[in-house]
Amino acid sequence: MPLFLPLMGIVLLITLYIYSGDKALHLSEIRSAAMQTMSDKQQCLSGQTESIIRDLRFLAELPAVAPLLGSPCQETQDHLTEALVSFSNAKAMYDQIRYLDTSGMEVLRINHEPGNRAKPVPPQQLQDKSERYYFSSTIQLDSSEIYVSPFDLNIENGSIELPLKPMLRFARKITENDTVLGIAVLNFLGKPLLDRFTGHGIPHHHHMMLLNKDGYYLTGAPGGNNWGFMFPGTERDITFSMHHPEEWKTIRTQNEGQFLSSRGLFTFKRLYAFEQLDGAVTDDYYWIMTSMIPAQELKGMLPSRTGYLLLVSFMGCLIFVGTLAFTSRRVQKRHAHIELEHLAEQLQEANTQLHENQRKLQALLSNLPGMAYRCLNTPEWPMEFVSSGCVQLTGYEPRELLKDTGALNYSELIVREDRDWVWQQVQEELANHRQFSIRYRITNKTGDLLHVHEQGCGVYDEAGQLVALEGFIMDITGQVLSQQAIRESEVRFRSLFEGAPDAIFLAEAESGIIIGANRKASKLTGRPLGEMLGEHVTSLHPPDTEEDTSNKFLAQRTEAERFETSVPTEFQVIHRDGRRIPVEVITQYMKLDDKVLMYGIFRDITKRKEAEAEIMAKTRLLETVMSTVPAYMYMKNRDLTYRFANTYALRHFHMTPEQVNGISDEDLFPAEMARRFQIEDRNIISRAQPVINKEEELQLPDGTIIPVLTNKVPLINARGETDGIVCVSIDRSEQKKAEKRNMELQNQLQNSQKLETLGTLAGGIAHEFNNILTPVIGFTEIALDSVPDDSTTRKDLETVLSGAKRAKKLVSQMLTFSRKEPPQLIRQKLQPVIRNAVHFLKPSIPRTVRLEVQIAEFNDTVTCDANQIQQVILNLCTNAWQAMEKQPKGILSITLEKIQADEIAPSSAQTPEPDRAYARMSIDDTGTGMAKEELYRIFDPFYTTKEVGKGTGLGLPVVYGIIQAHKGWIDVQSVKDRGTTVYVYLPLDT
Amino acid sequence: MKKILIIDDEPDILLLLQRVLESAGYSVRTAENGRQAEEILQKNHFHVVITDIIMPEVEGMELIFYLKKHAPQTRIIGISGGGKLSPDSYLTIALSAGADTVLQKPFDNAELLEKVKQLL
Repeated sequence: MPLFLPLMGIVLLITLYIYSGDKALHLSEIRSAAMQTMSDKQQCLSGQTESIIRDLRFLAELPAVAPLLGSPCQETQDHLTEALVSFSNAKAMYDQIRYLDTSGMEVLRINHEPGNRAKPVPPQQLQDKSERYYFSSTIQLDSSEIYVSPFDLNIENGSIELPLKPMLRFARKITENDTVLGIAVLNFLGKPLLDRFTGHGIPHHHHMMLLNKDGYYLTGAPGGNNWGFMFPGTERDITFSMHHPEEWKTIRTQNEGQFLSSRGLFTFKRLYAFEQLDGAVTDDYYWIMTSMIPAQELKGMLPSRTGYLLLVSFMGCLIFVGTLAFTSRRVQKRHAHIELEHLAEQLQEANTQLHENQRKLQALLSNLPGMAYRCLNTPEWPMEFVSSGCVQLTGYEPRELLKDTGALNYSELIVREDRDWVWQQVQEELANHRQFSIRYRITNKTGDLLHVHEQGCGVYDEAGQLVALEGFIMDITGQVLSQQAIRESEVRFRSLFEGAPDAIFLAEAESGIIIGANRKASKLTGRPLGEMLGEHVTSLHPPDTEEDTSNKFLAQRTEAERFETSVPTEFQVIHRDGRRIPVEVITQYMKLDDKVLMYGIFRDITKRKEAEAEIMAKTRLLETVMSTVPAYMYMKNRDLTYRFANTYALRHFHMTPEQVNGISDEDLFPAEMARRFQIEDRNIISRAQPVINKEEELQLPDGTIIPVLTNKVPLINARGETDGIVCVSIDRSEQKKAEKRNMELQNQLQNSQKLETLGTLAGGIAHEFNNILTPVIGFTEIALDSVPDDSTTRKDLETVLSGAKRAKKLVSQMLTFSRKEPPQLIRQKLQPVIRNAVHFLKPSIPRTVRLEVQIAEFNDTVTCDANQIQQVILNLCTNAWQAMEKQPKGILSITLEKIQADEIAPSSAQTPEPDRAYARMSIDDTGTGMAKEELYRIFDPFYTTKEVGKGTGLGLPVVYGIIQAHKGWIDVQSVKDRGTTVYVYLPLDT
Repeated sequence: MKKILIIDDEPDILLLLQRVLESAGYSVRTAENGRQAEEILQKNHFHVVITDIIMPEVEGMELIFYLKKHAPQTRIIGISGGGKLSPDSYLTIALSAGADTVLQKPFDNAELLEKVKQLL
């Protein structure tokens, strides 16, 4: 036995050596896994913070921000607010986005509650933040620096917000031309960041902790007691150093490291989350990432000692037997000794090999997601061995499937339809001595259908007889299903791509090279797909629009990169035949592995463009017509409020389009007029019948009432309902004036015709009359000579004589009309002419009538016949004093004045020449006056209001004729029993 | 005694003028138209001829021309009641044709006597 003990000792030593090597190997794997986790986490967190800083820069440098803080304009603010709301929604990780002015007052703030839509804070709820640390710190920084707050919990109204809201604030100054305008602040929700740190891809025995530099837990504290520094003096005020004082000494002082202590394996690394970023304030700003694998867990992960002990026992037995044999053959001692040494060596080697293989196989079998087996080659597939993976694969324990202990053959798991096929496949491959590799379906213990992949081969004995099958069965259900899903999605994509109503191009974002296009794209460009592939996207557009195209393209790309998709933008596409086709393009970006692809959806908008152009032309025509037409045009809604009025109407009502919108007739017209319009409008709406050519009146804001001709038409919409009314009113004032003027001219013409007729008549009969009158007058005079003075016959004869003399005068006046010669027109002042007439007139005026003469002095002359003008004055004055003859008192005024055309009342009988001055003679009496009917006829020849024997009825017609020949006119105003004024207008010489 | 010839187609006027002039002491003859007057004038001399301007047969105007030619010493007074033209214009024409003076019908007896007296 002396050999046994040393041998045994050697075996023991070797085993110990192997064991310790194995253990070290495991430990080193665990250590490096921990380091790797640390490094992964670092990248993950740094990536997150970098993206925040970029967002902050973007927000601070938005062009619309400077005007917002400088000179705010509502429109800019609205646009910016809208953009920021979208931004906040898209990012979904900023609790608040804010702009503060230099006084610390919030100017714009977008809040975003997780799970809700972002919304802007109303202006009245904006707060003064000048006292907050982030404002005072940021405002002192350089403009390129970025302020990052400590990672802490949000405090709302002085107390910690519940549930806890971890928060990081980022801020940066906003400047324009070296002037500080304010700061931009981002509140970043820290929870997702912490979740990322503790979640995903961490082996379950790793305990992850994030500490601030004072050793307070940010996450991963035992019992959830994180954020201790926020709860000073309470039982939550807990630090890492309280739990691990010894370990904290190391972690606190080193940048990174890994060590084993009695409590486990610690791995730590300082995270300078912002050190890579230009301008970020990072001095001394770091967190400590720590992972711990507790000692207990670590132990379970290292190789077991029991296996090695068994091995040693086994070896011991073997050596013991060998030693016995050795002792019995001492003769061959030396020889055997050598052999034994050799054997020991081999043993050691074999042992090492065996152990290694065993370990590897074990590791393989227990780690592989599948089941290794050995079975007999019969259709029932009786199992001789199954690995522990069978539980996971089939749900059955190994013993349930083994042929000696279980009641179940493996074939029963195979789906019935697949069984024969599996058998045939396997037999076929076996016949050719090949490996078989098949896919089929099985049902597991819980009845789920699984797809499996089996790979295996025949096991043959030395004689080449098949004794069993060995192989491996793996669950590929997930893979099959996902392949199926991929195939389906590919089909879907293809049909969408090809069946889309629009042309779609696919290109590499980096190079702009087209790598795909659908049939519609070929149709749009007129080029076969093969020709377009490999070309640059700019080849789709006309070369002369290149600058415009690339500008739009860049804008779309920026937008698409930021918001994933761009807004539709109009481009032109050039067709193979040279046509330019207007298109609307939406660009989208997507990442496929490492490549960024963009695809553009091109919609042919030729038809739309044409329709738009047509509508535009029609609209422009309509607008032009409406803004230029000299008529009141307006539109009313169904409730009779105004919706629209054209330029003409707006100008006359002194309103703007905004003012007119929504008002009603009551706001524009007197109550009665408004009521009338509305009754009419309601009728039109209820009957859907227009009113055409209605004469009515409108009152303008200055009170002027104008006659209008109105058309009102119901406005019928596409559904056949009456939406409102369209009205057009034409101002008829001018037309009415013209009508009046026409009437006047007609009157004048009639008068002239009457006078002409009279003249002709007078010329014809004057001769006869005079011949008759001559003997009447002559003989009466003779007779009077022979009659005594006191005789009654004398009285009678005198009456005859005066009658005859009147007849003589009448004839003489009639002849004035027949006189065809023009008046003797001379440029002269009117004043002497009038004075002369007054001189002649005075003796004949009764004493009861007072004569008042007012002659204005002016140097202007009138081209006139003095005799005729005097006759006019005499005639008019005679009429005047005769009208006052029966009154106890009367006043006859004769006035001359100079008057400008625009001072003459519009109601005057004739419209004066503009810018001309006139002499106006007025003969005014306080006599009997005339009624309107009489007034109309005063210029008619032989019309007289005087008693029989007093007037000839030719005085005024003579006046009329004379003044007309002088290019003047006459106005007469008269009030019954009050008196008459006659105005004579004569144009002054220019 | 001064002799006066009166020519007018109106008998009443002839009668009147004759009465007025005779009672004023003139010797008066009358003619109803221009032709009759010419016949009288061929055989007799008159100091004054008073003639209407518009008459049938020989017009007063023609008579004035005749007188100017055959009896240039005879004074002429044109009288007229007017016509299609104004009476003034007839009388104006008469004046320019050679009448010494004119008188518009109707006129006062005194007016007539005054004119005749002036001419003689």
